[in-house]
This record gives sequence, structure tokens and C-alpha cells, in this order.
Amino acid sequence: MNDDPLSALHAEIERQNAAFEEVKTELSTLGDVEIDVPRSLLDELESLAAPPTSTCTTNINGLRA
Amino acid sequence: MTTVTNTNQAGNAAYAAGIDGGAPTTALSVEGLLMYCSSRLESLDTTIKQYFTEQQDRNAGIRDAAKLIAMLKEGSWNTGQKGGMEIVCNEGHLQNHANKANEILALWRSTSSPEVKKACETAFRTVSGLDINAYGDPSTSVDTIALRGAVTSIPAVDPAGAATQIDAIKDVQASLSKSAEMNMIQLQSLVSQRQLAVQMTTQLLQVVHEGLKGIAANFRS
Repeated sequence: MNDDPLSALHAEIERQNAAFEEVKTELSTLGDVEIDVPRSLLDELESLAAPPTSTCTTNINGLRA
Repeated sequence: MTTVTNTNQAGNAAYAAGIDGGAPTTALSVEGLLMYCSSRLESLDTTIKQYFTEQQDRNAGIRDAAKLIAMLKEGSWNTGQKGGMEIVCNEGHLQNHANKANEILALWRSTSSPEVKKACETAFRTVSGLDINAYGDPSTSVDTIALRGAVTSIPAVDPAGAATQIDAIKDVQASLSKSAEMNMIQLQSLVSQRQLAVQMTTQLLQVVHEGLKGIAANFRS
């Protein structure tokens, strides 16, 4: 296995950073405004940023650990 | 409800442009919102960075395992080795063993993979009869004098034994490959999650723009 898939992911992150920079630039041009952000959107962002949970394993009784 | 409230000092007034009604909202300044979005991405980035490092380590481990396999397949080593007193009288044989032990030692020192280190330890002991951990100091190397002292610990290895030794390292390599594949899937999932987070901030920006357009329209009418 080589590092090429990693390079592709790295390039994707760079592209995402560029998109986020555009958002930051645009938002900063809005001036002194206050934004009412839907709570659901913040919750969604929060859950996206949460670290991945470990995979549950199924024991012999079919119960998840 | 998505509301953009203009608190521009020049106007010194608050304007609201509602797009949706009823949903709970949190009022944030632009700066606050940017900080919030950045901190969430940074949190994700910390995890992604950790997975990246792990993936690079595993890939390096796979390459190092391949190097060890190549070392043990090189020339006559592929068919095994003479051991014990059979090699003690032959300076050429002793030197070959010392050279091979030093090759393995260099890989053991350079690899960051614990699995490959362990495989190197086993291979080193087979080739030299010595404990690789005694060669932790980078200035040390194996010479024929050390080999003479340990010669009775050098086992004879037949072709089947050599193949078994190589298969064991291939198993280590396969295990690292499997682990790297699982890690890669997790990493791809995290990058997709990050993409979603960035998309959400872009969508939020559009909503803010629409809100501001609404404010401007209210001004004109």
C-alpha cells in the first residue's frame, strides 16, 4: 500500500479549507451583525465534530457490549 | 427561524429578517460564529491528524515488513542457513551472518512499527544467535568476534524453516495491511464528516445573505 490515498485525502482537506476560508472572508465582510443561528444547525455541527465512537461488538447472546 | 439582526452602529438599530418560524435559535456575532465553526473543524482536525499519523505509520510498517522479507529471501538465505559449529570454522560464513545481522539491525533501528521490530528481533536471533536489544546503541554493530561467542545459539535452518520464517513476516504484513484498510475507511469517513461541516457553514452563509437581502428589501419598501 502506498501513500497515494492519503495524498488524495490531504488534497480534499486543502480544498475544504479553501472553501471554509471563502466563507470566513464573506462573513467578515458583513460587518457588525448578529446572526440567529438555528440550534439544530449548531447541534448538527457539534455531532459532526464529535470524535468517532468505537464500533460495538456483538456478543454470543446477540447483545451489544 | 433564521434571523439576521443588523446592529450596525451607523444605523444604531436592529432589523430582523425571518426566513423560517418557530425553530429555536442562538444569537451569535459574526466573529462568534466564525470562532464556533473554526473550533468545531479544529476538533475534527485533531482526530483526522491522529488517523493520518497512524495510517502513515502502518504504511511504513508494511514497507518495512517487505524490506525484511526481501532481506531474508536474498541469495542463499532463501534456502535457510547452516548453524552452530558448522559455521564457526568458516570466516566467510561468519562474516555473511554478521552482514545479515547488521542489515536486520539497521531496519530494527529505523522502523517505527512495533510489529516489524518484533519480527526483526526474531530474525536477528536466528541469524546471529544474539539478542538485538543489546545493540540499542547506534554506534554498535555485530562483528565476527561476537558471533563466535554466540555461535552455539545460531540454529541451522532448512528451506522449509526459512519459508516458515518468511511466512510469519508475511502474516505481520497482512495484519498491518488489514489494519491500514480499516484505518483508511475511518479516515475517509472523518474527511466526509468534515466536508459536511464545511458545507453547513456555506449553507449558513447563504441563509445569512438571504436574510440581509430581506433587510434591504424592507428598507426599500
